Amino acid sequence: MSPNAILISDVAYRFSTQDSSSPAILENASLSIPSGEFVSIVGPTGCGKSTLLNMVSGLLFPSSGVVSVFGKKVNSVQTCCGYMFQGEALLPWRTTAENIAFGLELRGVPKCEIDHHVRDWLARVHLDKHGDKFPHELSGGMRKRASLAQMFITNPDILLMDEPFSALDVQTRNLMENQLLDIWTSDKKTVLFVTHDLEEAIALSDRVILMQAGPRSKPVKEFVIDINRPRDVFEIRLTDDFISIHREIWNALRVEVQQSHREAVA
Amino acid sequence: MKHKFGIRLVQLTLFVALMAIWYGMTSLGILDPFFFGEPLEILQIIILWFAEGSIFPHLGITILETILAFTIGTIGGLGCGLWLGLARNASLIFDPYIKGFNAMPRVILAPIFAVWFGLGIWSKVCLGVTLVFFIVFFNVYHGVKQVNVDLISSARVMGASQRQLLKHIYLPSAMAWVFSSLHSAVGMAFVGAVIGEYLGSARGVGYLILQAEGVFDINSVFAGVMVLTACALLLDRLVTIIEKYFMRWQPGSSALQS
Repeated sequence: MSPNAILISDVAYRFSTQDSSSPAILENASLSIPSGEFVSIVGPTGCGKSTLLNMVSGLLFPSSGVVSVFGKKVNSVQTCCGYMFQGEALLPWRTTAENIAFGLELRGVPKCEIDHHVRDWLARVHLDKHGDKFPHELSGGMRKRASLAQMFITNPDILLMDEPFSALDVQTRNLMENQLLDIWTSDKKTVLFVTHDLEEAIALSDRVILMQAGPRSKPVKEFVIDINRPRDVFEIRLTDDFISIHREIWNALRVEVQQSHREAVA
Repeated sequence: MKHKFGIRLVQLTLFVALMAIWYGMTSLGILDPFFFGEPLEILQIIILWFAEGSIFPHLGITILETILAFTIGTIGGLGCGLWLGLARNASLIFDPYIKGFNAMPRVILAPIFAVWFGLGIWSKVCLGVTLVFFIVFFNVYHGVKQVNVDLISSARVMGASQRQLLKHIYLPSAMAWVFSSLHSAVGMAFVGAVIGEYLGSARGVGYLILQAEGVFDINSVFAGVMVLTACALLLDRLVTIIEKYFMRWQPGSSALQS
């Protein structure tokens, strides 16, 4: 068995599969992520970060190259993944508890077992008192906590997170990041986390991958974040280690952001 | 609560004022009561209808036709809307037909339905269905295409099959669009029933109105129109109550109470 949870080898992705001359979003993209690692992807807008996640989850398939998960080629939707989106992905007609139960319900888990797990997760994300509320009655932070529980309850092996906290205000975002780290630390899932926020990437990850400016984007640099765990997202950004790695990554990221800006203007 | 009561009071006052103006104009002879009716006599006719019970068989038939047209049209519109909204090829094929049927003035179909289904309730129900169906259909059809893609992707990654997507995502979202169209649909069902009766029937409030018109009994015509309006308002209210129950998950659903 491959030690890699996720292996992306020489992948290209085009919107149009028939027309090989249409510009590729991703080209020659390769990346491997060992089981249990927390990896963040940063890069300028339009560099195909989300496309990468969609290919790992099997929602999209590469135009060429291979994506494999736990050594198996991805050719269908990967239900071993938990996916958390930037926007709202709670069902508005279900209460918080029913939303958290959704994944287990789809898998045909018996009702009493679901109830047990839902109660457990409501408590873990501090929503015990809000189980009967509908999403529109919750605050943005509460909705994200419910989404976290919804993702974790099916016990996925891989977590795919696409700018999950970007819509939140800074304080709430930091709280959520700490909460995510807490849950993650207890069973060390493999995480692929897309963000445009470099501080968030450094504070959470074992490794930060930098994507090149699109089109024909690919991972170009990687930075190992050698900061001890457990980490506190609030405190970590004041440490010297954090500041020096931040400067190092930012110098590289800035080049790509400027390149992407030139592409956009040209 | 107090605010709501105030609104109700103003609404009622407005109604009384309008009736008073009508009464004043006709009793002073500014408007000819022969053509414009007299509110007090209209009221008497309505009271008599209900006291004698002579209105009930007619009203019952009209309401039965309305409810049948409403139910069949709504279920049909929901089903076809979901189907064509999700099946791209089918929607491309049927597109000109749907548009054609919708553009067709449905009222002219009433005599054809009368020939096909006779003068009983089914010709009226059919007319109502053709009116209700398209309102619901277009709402659902366009709505299905606007379902949040993240919801679908998220459910698929959680392991949802096509059937589960339909049951847990498309159908509940479609209900929101169905309800947004139901208020106009219930009115249309009523229009279908009454016009059908008006064009050929032996019972129903539309038939009553037609009879009264035949003998220039303008007061009975107005009485019939008022009874119909009151019924339409009641049905609309019923839809609101059902809507409030099913749509309680929607933001601002509490603002619907009026």
